Amino acid sequence: MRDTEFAYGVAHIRAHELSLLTNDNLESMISAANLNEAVRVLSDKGWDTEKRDFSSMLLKESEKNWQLICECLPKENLLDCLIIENDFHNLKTAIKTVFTREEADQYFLFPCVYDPQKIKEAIDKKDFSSLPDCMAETAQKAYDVLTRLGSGQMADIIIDKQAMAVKLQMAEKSDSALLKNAVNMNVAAANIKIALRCVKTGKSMDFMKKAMSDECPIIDIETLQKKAAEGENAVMVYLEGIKEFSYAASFLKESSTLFEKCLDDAIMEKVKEAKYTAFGVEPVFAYFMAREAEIKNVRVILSLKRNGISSEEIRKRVRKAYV
Amino acid sequence: MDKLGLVLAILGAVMAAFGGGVGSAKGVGIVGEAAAGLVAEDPSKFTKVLILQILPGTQGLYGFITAIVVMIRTGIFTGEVAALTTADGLAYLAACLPMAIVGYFSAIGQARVAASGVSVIAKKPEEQSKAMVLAAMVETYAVLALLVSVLLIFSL
Repeated sequence: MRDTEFAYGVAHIRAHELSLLTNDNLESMISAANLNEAVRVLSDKGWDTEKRDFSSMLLKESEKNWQLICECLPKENLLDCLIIENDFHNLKTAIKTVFTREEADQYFLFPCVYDPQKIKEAIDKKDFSSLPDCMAETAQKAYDVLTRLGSGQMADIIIDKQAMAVKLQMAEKSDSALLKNAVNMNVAAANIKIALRCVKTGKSMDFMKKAMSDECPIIDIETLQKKAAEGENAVMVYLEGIKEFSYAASFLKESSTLFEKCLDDAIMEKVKEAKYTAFGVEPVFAYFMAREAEIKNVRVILSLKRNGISSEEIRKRVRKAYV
Repeated sequence: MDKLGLVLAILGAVMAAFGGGVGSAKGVGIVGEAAAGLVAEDPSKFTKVLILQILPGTQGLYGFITAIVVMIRTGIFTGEVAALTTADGLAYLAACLPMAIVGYFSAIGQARVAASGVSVIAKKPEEQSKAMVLAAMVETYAVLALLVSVLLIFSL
């Protein structure tokens, strides 16, 4: 695909970048005296804050974001790897609600690649073969685990692991090195987080093998598992030797919240390379990531403000903005 | 075979018009797409991006000029077609090549710079002139190619 096919999309995205929240905007929200003042910053940037139902506001913003991305792509499916995790979440929902007999619709996440209703229908009928190829086998395994062992956690692990594998496979098909790198970093960060949680909860090596990816281009999963078995310090030393995560590793001793923020910031730093790309999928991809990070930041700030948490504490959790 | 010289001269004129024209059509199209992407979000910037869109269109004009000069020099316009040898015809064809080739590639190159300039205008409209200067730099080579082609044709 020629990079000039993205001429419309890139220019459209550049115009939209002007309305992204800057680090200064985020700082104004963080240091706002109360929730109302923080919300006013969003209103000034054109957010629809009328309803005061922040959860649905953020959900809508996320859907709007994907709609815009779709408008800007010359060909569908180019960035499906960015939302495929939502499909696997919907698969989990469809399987679990069979057992809990709850209405699944309320838990479905959007945007997604596959129609969640069709996933639900297939699970209800136990017709796993009608699911998308990347889900069929996993869905059957997760369903069996839930039926035989009644273990929701094991079902989650099976599905999450497959979600990471599919995400990597989809990104690998892309022509964009930046997209591949960022997705690789994202999956590596997810594995690091799993490893650290396993350390904290004292999980066995066998559990880690089940929960973590089989392979990841940036980190050696087997080594990470071994280091996790040795303890948090060993993981930190291992991460210090990995270029992409060495900065974040230095914060691991301070707090896990700060470390996770640094992991996300490291990915955003990589994504920022798209600012200097004139054509291609990268600027569109970067905008999507930037907007998702922005939505995440707004969610963190508003919920912490609502609970009266100090500005200092909020600042520790807020990720760097793209612009 | 006595008309081969003329055929080659006409082929040269066609190539000059074709190279410049196709390059410009593609180039104006690329910048037009980028301009539409910006105008869809901010229609007030239409006039600013229109100037950038026009820039890669000049190569088509240069190719047209080259073709016209060949037609004048060979007498196609007046109906008094000169008797051209094969060597003469080849000379006309060769003279047209700079415009045909440089015209095509410079139009595409200029379009890429101009389309990037649309992104500059999207984010910093006050920097429009810089975006134009960057795109206009590519024009130099189209102008040089036009000069080479026209001077060669006149020297024949």
